[in-house]
Amino acid sequence: MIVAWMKSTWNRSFDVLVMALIASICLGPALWQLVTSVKPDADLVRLPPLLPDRLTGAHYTAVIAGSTLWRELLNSGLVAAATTGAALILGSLCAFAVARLPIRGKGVILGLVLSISMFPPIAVISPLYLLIRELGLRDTLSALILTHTTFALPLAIWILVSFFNQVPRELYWAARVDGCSPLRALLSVVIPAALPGLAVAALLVFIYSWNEFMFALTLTATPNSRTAPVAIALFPGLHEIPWGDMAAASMIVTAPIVVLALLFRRSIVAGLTAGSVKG
Amino acid sequence: MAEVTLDGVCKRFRGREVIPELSLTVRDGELFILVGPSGCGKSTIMHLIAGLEAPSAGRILFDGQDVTPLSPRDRDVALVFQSYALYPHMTVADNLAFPLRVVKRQTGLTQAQIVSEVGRIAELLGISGVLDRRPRELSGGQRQRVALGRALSRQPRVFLLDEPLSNLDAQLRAVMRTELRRLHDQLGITMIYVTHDQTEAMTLADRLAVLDRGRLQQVGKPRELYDRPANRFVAQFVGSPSMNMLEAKIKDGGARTPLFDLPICLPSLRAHEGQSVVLGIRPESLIIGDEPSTSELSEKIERVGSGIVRLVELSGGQTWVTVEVGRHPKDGLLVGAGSRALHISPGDRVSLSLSEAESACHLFDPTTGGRLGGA
Repeated sequence: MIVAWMKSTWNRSFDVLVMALIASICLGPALWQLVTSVKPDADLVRLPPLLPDRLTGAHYTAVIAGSTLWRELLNSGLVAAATTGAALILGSLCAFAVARLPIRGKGVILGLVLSISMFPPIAVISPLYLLIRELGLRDTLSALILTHTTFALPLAIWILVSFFNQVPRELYWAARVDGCSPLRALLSVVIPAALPGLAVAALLVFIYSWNEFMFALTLTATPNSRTAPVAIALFPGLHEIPWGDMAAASMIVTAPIVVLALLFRRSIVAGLTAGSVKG
Repeated sequence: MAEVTLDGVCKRFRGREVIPELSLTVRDGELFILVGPSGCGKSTIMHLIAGLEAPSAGRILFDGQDVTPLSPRDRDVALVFQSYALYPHMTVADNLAFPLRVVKRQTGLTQAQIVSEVGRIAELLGISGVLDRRPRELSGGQRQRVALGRALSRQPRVFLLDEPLSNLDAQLRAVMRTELRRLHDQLGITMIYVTHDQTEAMTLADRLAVLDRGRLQQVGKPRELYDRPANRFVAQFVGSPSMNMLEAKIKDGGARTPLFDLPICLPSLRAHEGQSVVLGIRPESLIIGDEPSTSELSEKIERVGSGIVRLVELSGGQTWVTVEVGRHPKDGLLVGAGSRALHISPGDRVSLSLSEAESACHLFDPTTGGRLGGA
């Protein structure tokens, strides 16, 4: 009895320990960023104190009042939203075709799609820059939307194919027999049944586009089209690095993603299909 | 309503023949059942008729009109799936209305007409009380009714049911079976029904087709299949418990088998004098009796041998007895019927008799399995 109790307690505490370790590795940098964003300038480059004895909102006011971050956040939002929309529409059509329509070489199609994401962005960036410039799209949001959609599509397609495959084949067949064209069946039956999958794909594509840095840095030139991550990277001046301001800006840029993830987490509950098929 | 004809239909998947070649006519307004063991291609045939899959060769005709190139929406068929395939995100009412809404533009139905039609179907199936629920909130029987209702709401020419009752418990299955029969008789619609359950097929069908590995074994009325099975497969598939099969040789007008002491003599056996045959005897024709008593034996019951009881199964009014027969142990196991009054237990020695031997014995060719003569 006692041995068993000790054993279970030991197992329990071991679990807690491991989880605490993993959590601190994941959350540590973010917490440090948070601490930095509220430290007075004088404490920023000193250690100790580990935690400041006086909190300041000066960095936040500086970022909000003294920079163009709002403009850049808006750009980020527009680009990410448009990218998500485009990737989901195109991705759904492709994924549905691969998952349900009678076409040859589905494996090859999926392989080719995957191979797009194997190109390291750095390898395509100079031709892409030339292409965008020739199209007259340099320093526009469209350039970023196009590029991000291209690189987010493989991810979206792969996620959606697996979710569409989980929607029972009979549901699609039932819709076809009930008089739907394949497209109508996709819109009226398959997509509603695969909504959690769409939410997952949308979230991941949005995060990818929101965080994307290299294309955003290369293809933009002015605050008109610059996105938030690029804006933060351009904070450092000639003589000093404003650590506090950058940390505050990072927190502001990260917040929407955290909120989105929490919101979607509630909707990403599998079991939406419960009841349609033998229960 | 329509007559459905399959004309030399063949289906291959990646070079493997699932349906070698099938020709079949389902009459207008008939309740036709396709029955066979799992994996015999029944569901594939349904998909071919519905247009979900295209045949590799052959034609499918509705009322003589070739529908092979038509897509499912243009065939005007309804299909009920074993898994029901209800739309999970829609209420029962929306599920029922869906087929009507999809074709709204062609038919010009108004919203009000659709609502009243849904009401009529719900009334017919007794699901008016659950119209605003989602499929996941329904019981198995209710889901089944909704699935039927969705198929009926559009009044299709052909009504296809793919193992519609397999997911229900035994009691509900019996209820739904009766209800299906009533629906069919009420609507007079052509129904094609797939099942692996021969009892269901025998009790429900106007006519049925027995399939094995994509090949048609026999088509006919339930009684015909039971009384005159065309081959060994049908003989053993139809009826429960399964028909006993014994190797026998015909000599001097009698079928001799090492399992029985006495030959079975029938006038009809003369035609097969000298042949080796497979003798089929239905368990209900093989009467089990206490060994010493011969009092029960009347003119119509003929004692053929004896054996040792291995298993006694009570099934309502009938007792099925598995008997080990033959001179050597483990020669063969036969299933026979015991009367209610019979008190036996495993290990007892019992007698085997044939009742109405003329109709009880079926002869099959040992190599082809085909039915021999009129026996």
